[in-house]
Amino acid sequence: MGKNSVELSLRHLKHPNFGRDTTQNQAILALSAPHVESFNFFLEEGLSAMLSDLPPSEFELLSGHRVSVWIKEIVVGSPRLSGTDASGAVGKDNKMFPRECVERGLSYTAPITAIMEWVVEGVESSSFRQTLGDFPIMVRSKKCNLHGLSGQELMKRGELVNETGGYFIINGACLILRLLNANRRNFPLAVIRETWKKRDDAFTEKGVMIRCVRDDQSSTMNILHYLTTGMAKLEFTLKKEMFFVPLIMCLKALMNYTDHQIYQHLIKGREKDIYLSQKIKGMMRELQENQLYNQDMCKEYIGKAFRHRVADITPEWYTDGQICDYLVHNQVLIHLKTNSDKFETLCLMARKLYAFVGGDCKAESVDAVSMQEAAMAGHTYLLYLKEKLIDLLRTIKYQIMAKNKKEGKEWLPNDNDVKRAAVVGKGTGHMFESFIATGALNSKTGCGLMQMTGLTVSLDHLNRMRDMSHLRAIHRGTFFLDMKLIEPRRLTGEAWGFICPVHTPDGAPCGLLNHLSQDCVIPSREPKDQSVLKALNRLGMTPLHTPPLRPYTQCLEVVVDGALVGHVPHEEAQTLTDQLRIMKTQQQIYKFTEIVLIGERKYGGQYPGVFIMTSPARLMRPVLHLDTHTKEYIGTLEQLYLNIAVTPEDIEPGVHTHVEVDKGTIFSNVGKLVPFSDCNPNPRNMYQCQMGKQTMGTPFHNYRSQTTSKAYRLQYPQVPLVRNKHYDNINMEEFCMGFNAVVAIVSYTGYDMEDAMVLNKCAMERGLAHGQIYKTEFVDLSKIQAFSKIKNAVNFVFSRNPTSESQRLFLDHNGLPYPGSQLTQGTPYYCVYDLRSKRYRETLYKGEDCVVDKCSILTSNLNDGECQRACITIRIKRNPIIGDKFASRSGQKGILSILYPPQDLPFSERGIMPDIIFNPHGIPSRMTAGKLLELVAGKSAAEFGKSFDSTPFEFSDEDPAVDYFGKILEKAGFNYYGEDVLYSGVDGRMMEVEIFEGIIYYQRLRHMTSDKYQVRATGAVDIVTRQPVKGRRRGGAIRFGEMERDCLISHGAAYTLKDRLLDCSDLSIEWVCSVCGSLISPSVRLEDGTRKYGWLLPQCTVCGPKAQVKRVSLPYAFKYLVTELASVGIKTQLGLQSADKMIKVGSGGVGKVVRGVGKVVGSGGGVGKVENVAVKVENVVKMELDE
Amino acid sequence: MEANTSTEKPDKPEPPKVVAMVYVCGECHAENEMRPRDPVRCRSCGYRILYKYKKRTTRLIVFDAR
Repeated sequence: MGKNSVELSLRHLKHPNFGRDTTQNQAILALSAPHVESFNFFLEEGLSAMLSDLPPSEFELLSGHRVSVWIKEIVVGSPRLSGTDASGAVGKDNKMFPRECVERGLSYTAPITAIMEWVVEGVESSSFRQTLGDFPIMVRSKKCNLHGLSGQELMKRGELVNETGGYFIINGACLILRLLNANRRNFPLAVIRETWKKRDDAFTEKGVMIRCVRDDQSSTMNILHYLTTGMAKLEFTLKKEMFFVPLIMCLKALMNYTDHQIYQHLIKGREKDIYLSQKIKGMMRELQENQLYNQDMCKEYIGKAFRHRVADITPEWYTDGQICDYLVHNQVLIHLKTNSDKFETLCLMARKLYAFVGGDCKAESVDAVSMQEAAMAGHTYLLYLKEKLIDLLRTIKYQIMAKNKKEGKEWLPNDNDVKRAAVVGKGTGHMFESFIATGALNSKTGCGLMQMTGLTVSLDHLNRMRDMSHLRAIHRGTFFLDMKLIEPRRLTGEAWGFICPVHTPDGAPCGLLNHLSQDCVIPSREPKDQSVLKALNRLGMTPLHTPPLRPYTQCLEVVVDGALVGHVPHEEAQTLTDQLRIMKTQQQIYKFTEIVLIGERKYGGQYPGVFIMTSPARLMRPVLHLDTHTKEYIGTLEQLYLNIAVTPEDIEPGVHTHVEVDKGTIFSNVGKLVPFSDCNPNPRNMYQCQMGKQTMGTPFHNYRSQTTSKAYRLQYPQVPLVRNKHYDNINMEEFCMGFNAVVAIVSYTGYDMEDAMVLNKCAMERGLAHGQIYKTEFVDLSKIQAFSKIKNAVNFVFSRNPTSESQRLFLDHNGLPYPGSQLTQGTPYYCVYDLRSKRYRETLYKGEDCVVDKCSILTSNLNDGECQRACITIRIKRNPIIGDKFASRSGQKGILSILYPPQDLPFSERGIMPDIIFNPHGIPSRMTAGKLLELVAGKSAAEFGKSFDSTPFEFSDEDPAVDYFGKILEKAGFNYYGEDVLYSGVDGRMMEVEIFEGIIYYQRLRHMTSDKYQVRATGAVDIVTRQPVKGRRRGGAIRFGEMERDCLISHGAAYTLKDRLLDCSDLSIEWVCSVCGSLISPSVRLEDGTRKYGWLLPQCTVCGPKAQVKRVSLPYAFKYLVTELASVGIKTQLGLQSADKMIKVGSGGVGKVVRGVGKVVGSGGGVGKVENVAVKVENVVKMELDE
Repeated sequence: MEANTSTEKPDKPEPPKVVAMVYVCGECHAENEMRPRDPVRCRSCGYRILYKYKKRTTRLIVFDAR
């Protein structure tokens, strides 16, 4: 590599226009492309595709008139101001912008209206508009008011120049509909699934599965099962219930073919397969035996069987044949429009099934990336809307029918009746709002998704890396989280370039939550033309209904988007696909076409054929096509059958057809930022990907208009001296999250053991790693609970109590704190005047010391926009203290163990002293060579005022990075290896060993002592058991659990044990009757109670005044247990013994169970007396019911 | 942050004083003088977010070394 290429520009320092440039960076905007584009698809093609497929609601009135209601059009508006907000807008359009929603805690929604038409056959027809409510709109989508704005205009709207969008805003919070993995659409998959075998004796584990997806993205799963009898049955799902139809019956119902024709079609290309031919004949015979001879008979048979299952959807006058048609249209291979296409593809599936069973092709895995695609935001949105519209149409039907029943036989609905029935539709928008807010679909059909909950993640703006990775994350599905299977989590070679191998969390979601590689794109639209088909015909494919020149056995099937379209001879297939590929690179056909040629193999691989996919939602990535020298997008399945060289040097002529665009293309945006990641073990890079997302930094530039409930900010962020090229490409220097620290790798103080690190106190005091937390709270007066509240009226106003002296100091006239004022625990926070009860309600501040950063008053729609809400942002100082977490960029995290005074730190000849001392033991076992390289590179960068590139794979064994930076260091008079002679700060002597010292970029993580410390002497207890509650927020205790108990037992620390488990927990002093041994019966009787030692002695209510009652100390939980037991009729008896006697008994080895020593301790005032009583629980468990 | 609300119960709570306060518009930065129950809206541009005015301290911040 060229030596000059490792130097990076210092544009953030030197460029005169840096930070003022408003040209947008396309690399950043591309981050949100899968989301924004899919939402645009929803807004445009998606809606019309959905409407054209939406079945009208048809039904018959009592009078015999047929009614049909359908939705003709759906109109999506733009987010705009509503209610009083709009009326008061001065000289401006009513556009609502995302920033205002965030600042006011509103939802970014736009109205959607449906234009509905209805007709009463032969009588009346009309149309009307029905509002569907306000729907969340994705930021920067085509309906967003930010769409198409330039950087300058975005800035004017309070957004970042490179605002990515791709999220929704609900009540001021940003939420992303996450990408989910789904099975590859319209591709028949040979699968082995053991669970099928368990279903029934008839089933085997083998089948061919196809997930069919229609233009409007609605999907069904069809499975062709192989049965133990050798027959095949087609499975489809109707309302979450599975149904099976014999293959031949299905084929017969599809086309009006004779048995001979069906046989010819099925066997096409597998003429030599005797088994298949035999089984086909067998299946046909079976059908004959059932007296089903032709298409109409099969249709009627199927229709009859399913009539009652679809009664609520299909009109009652449908014939059995029509019902069968309805099923075929909606459940069987729904991606195909014509029955003949369905027929051919079903035949293809059958051939694949029997090839699979016969061992001619191998099983495919649904866990492989090549068999997957993505479920995208816009597509999910569309499906949910479709379901809600179907529901709406059905509701209209039932409403009108109900009215008909009431009004009598002659009644006909008029316009008003239909409108009234449709009025429920206006709640649809609200359903979508709650869907985005909670991430839970309220759906009966399931919308073709594997999961109903956890579909959204909140974009919490912790830092830039986190936001980026949320946009690029793709989840396998929560379903797999609980499964013990390892397969779905496995990183396979075929994910190369599509899924980042580094960027996945460790722990539960490991391998399930992945991130798209940087260049990976997901097209969300279908091509509009049929150019692929035309091209295929031109290039020599024999169309389906003309017999090819060669016999079928010597031909490969050509499948386009799950439809069999023709045949091509084996030896011509390669040229055909090559030529098609050239057309693709020249943009003559759709550029996201996936061209897969699976050739015949001797021992069977994947089922052979030419598979061409143009459908949306597939993962695609660019590589260079060698013949044309152009960028070509390839898909996951396509990649398996291509030879792609990694570097231009690797290209072997005749072997490779493609070359990677860049060596780092396999990484995600976050994975790409790890310096020298090629020198680290993979887990370390994984850790950095995780920790990078938890770093305090610069989350945004518009702090004033942010209302994130918690935001972290690093006070003096720096650009790393050593960084990857990608860092500059995505403008990360605008969002730095760390600082360049002088690090000495030495064991110096003893405070740096076990990943702890020492921080230079003086450096910290000068501002190193200083940070703040911004917390924002919305105070909503309409949500205050009060007895005297009047609905929909102003009950409270913000106001200061004129008589309160403390409020005068801290609050303004409007009862809100002064911006810039300091708050401590207990100072007034805000004050509210209750208009009904004429009282002031003061809220005191609770929490850490803070400064009020900003405070704004907001409108409500009540009473002409009076101030009913306020937004208060406070700022909490969080400078580093002991226990705060730091990490370098090589997955090396550590805890600050001490702030060391500078005079005691080691120093070099030039007077340089470290900011951070890092223990050398952290290096060998973790092998993070990248960190060491960064240190050396950082040191040389600082010395020459340069900035170095740490992109992985730039150096090699012949030209090592150490040598490059070592030579630079030597030039500056340093040691070649980056070592320095240091002098002890304690006694000033030179240290004999040379210390590895240089500059490393450190990140401050958000985990801080101040948020986590937990102490308690006494405090809140549980009401039921009287044991301390758990949880830091409630001032709870830390659990002293079984393991801890074992530990104390093994130490013989009996008194400590008693102290922890009894005295500091739920110690309780109770009365026990010494005769009957009951804990419940003693009770205090005031009238004739005897006093003893100043106590009013209780008497046993069972044994009377003569029985002695003793005081014993018990865990309250025990008393609770006894009471609970009593409630179910179980008696517990305590045997009391004097303590000294008990010891005698115990030593005598009688072997009685001694549960504990009861001891009553006087609690001051001389009330109590020590009374040694041993308690023995005899467990006299008597079921009273038995007697 | 958690906050605990307490209701003060003086014998005769005074009604709130009607004092006009100055707020800054979030859009055009114009200063708006507003009385307690006025609608929240900038008088010059109609924007609906108003910030409380942040007064600079009169206290001496920069000290001379003498």
